Parts: sequence; structure tokens; C-alpha cells
Amino acid sequence: MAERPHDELEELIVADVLDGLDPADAERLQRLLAEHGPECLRCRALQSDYRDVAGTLALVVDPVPMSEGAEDALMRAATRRARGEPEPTVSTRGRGARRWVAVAAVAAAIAVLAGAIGYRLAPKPAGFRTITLQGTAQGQLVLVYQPGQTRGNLFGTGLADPGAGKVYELWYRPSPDANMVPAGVFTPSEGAVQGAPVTVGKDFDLVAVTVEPGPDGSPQPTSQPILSAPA
Amino acid sequence: MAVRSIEDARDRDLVRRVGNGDEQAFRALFRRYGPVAKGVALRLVRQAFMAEEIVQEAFLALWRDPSAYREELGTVRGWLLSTVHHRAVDMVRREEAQRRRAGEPQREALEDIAQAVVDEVHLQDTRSRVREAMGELPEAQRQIIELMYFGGKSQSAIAAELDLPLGTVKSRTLLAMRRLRTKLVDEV
Repeated sequence: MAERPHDELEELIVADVLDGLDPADAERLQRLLAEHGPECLRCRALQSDYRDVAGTLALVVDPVPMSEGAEDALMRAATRRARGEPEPTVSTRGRGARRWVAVAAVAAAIAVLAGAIGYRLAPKPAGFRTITLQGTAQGQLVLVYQPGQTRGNLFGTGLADPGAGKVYELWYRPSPDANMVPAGVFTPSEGAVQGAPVTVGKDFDLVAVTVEPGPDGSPQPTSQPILSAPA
Repeated sequence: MAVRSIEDARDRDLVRRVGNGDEQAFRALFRRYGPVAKGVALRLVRQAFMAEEIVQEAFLALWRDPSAYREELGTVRGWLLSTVHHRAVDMVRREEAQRRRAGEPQREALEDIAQAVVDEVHLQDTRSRVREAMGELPEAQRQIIELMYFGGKSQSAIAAELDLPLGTVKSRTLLAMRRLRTKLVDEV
């Protein structure tokens, strides 16, 4: 029996492995694969080869280290069943992280509003601290973080664009005699910064913002701080 | 199906051992591909903690059902990274749909890409080859691949964005992937 043509299948498979198929084409692909049957070696080779191509494309991007403790957290989640414990998904932690950002946004909003109208408002959500950075730059920027934790988020309004090819970079100083440590870069969108994630030290006495070359910033400040605040 | 390389053979052995509950094998896979996977996910979702969550869930799925990987699906690396990519694209499209329903403006992506050091010579070598292969693609084809794979866009979305017929997007996708397949799969 003559082999069924694979031209249309190949066109659908390449888009499928790139996750670019529209729903109608995804259905068409499944129908064609079913017509060819699971024993079609050509279909299997096309899928296998192109999936490898797509997987290899991932290497174009630089790897990013997993956060501290990620491997152990994964192992704990993986082995819960063996220990007879209920299995929360890792996404529970993810949902927690998204709630953290939402709570941090509330804390920041309180801080920004307090700064705008000159009042100290009601206590922020438990465990969170805010630092309002001030200086020569227009707008307001608030760092929300939890003491002892390295994760933080920036919230701001009215910030100017840093300029073509430039980014804002946050720094923290672990101690008075230490150098500034890069905490992350961010760029406002229409003047706003909404939860830009940064990594601060567990202890620091000063935070500051400078304008640095984009897209990744600098290992050490190359310009004077435009915003800063003591911790 | 033929093993493509020594690396693939080792990865398949690790997956087989994961199937036997071997935690060290699972850790080895995570250490080897976790950072690469996070880089891919981060490129799409733009939030470090969300990228990490996607990677962790993909690996957790592998632990719970190692038989989800079958040799006819290609290399372990390709299957793992494709799984992560698929989850990241799903998340991006869900969030975009939610924002459209809520009438919210598109969020501008916030970059949070950290510099990482690659200590695997083989991955470094492959990375150079992939970048070279992408660089050799005609600009029109490379643009399609970048929008689809690294931008998480569907073919129809790309056609609309570039004001191209859908058929043109499909044919450029196919041509690009054929070139990459010749360059990468046959040589890696």
C-alpha cells in the first residue's frame, strides 16, 4: 500500500511542537495522525525529530539558576505520596507567590498614598515592610519586602522613562562598609511599575536606584543614585 | 528508535531510574535541565517565580508519571523542554485572555533574567550550534520562529501582527524548521 502523504502533517507538526497551532489546526493534526495510525513510522519520526528541534531551540536562551531551595522543595513535593502525605501541587506555592505579590501591592499602595498625602496610614500586612525611595527622579517608588527574605517587589508611579537603551537598576548595601549589590532591573510602563521582582539581601541598610545600560544593567553602579532610602 | 547521542542515552537511563523511584536520578535531571527550562519559561512569562513554578510542575509531573516520556517522542531533553515551553505558553495565553476579558491594557513585560554560568560543555557546544543555526535562517523565517517559540504566539496571531497571509506564516514555519532539523537533529 502506498504511503499516505505527509506534507500537510509535517506543516502541522512543526507548528505544533512550537506551540503555535491554532485550535482548528490542532484538531486537524489529531485527525490526520489518527488516520495514519500509531504505527506510522514516518509520523513518529516527524514528531520526534521536530520535537527535538523545538527542545534544542530552548538552548538559545541563557539558563537561569533555580532559586535557593528549589530542588529540595521539589523533592519534598515529589516524595509526599511515598510518605503518605497529601499532595499539594507546586502551584500552591505559585498561587501563594501570586497572593504575595497582591498583598505586596496593597502594602505598596498604602505606602505610596501615605507619601503622597503626608500621612502614616494603618499598619501594613503582617510581615511586610516598605521602603519609599526618594531623590532627584520624578515619581514615587516603593520597595516591598519581608525582613530576612531575599524576594522583593517594586511598585511605583509617575516615573520617567530611563531613556533609549537604558534601564533602572535597584541596588542594596548589605552593610555600611560594603559595596552596592545589584538587586534587579526594571523599566516603567507609562510611568508605572507594578510588582517588578527584585532580589535583595536578607540584611541591608540602604537601597538605591541608578540608570544603567540596558537590558541587563551593570554589575556595579555607573552613575549617581537618582532614588535612595535607608532600610 | 536510535539513541541520538551519549547524552540522550544517559538521560534515558535517568528517566528509567526515576521510574524506579530513584531520587538521585531525578535530582540529576533537575540540575541538568532545570536552569535551561527556567530560561525558556522566563522568556515567555517574564516573572521569575512563575517560570520556576512552571519548571517545578513539569518535573513533578515527570516524577509522578515517568511513563509519560516514551522513546518515540524523541530525546529526553527535547521532550522535557517542550513540556515546559507548552506550559509556559498556556499560562501566557490564559493571562492574556483574562486581561482581555477584564478590559485591562497589556502589561509591559518586566525583565528579570539573571546571568547564569553554564558548566556543561556539551550544552554550551549545542547552544553555540543552535544560535548559529538560528542566525543562518533567512530573517523572515527567523522572525516567525522567534514570535512563535519565544513569543508564545499562534500562527494566526503572527499573521495578524505581521499582516501576512496565514499560509505564508505556515510555509515559513515549515521552511525554517526543515532547515533547523537538517542543521540540529542530524548533527547533534
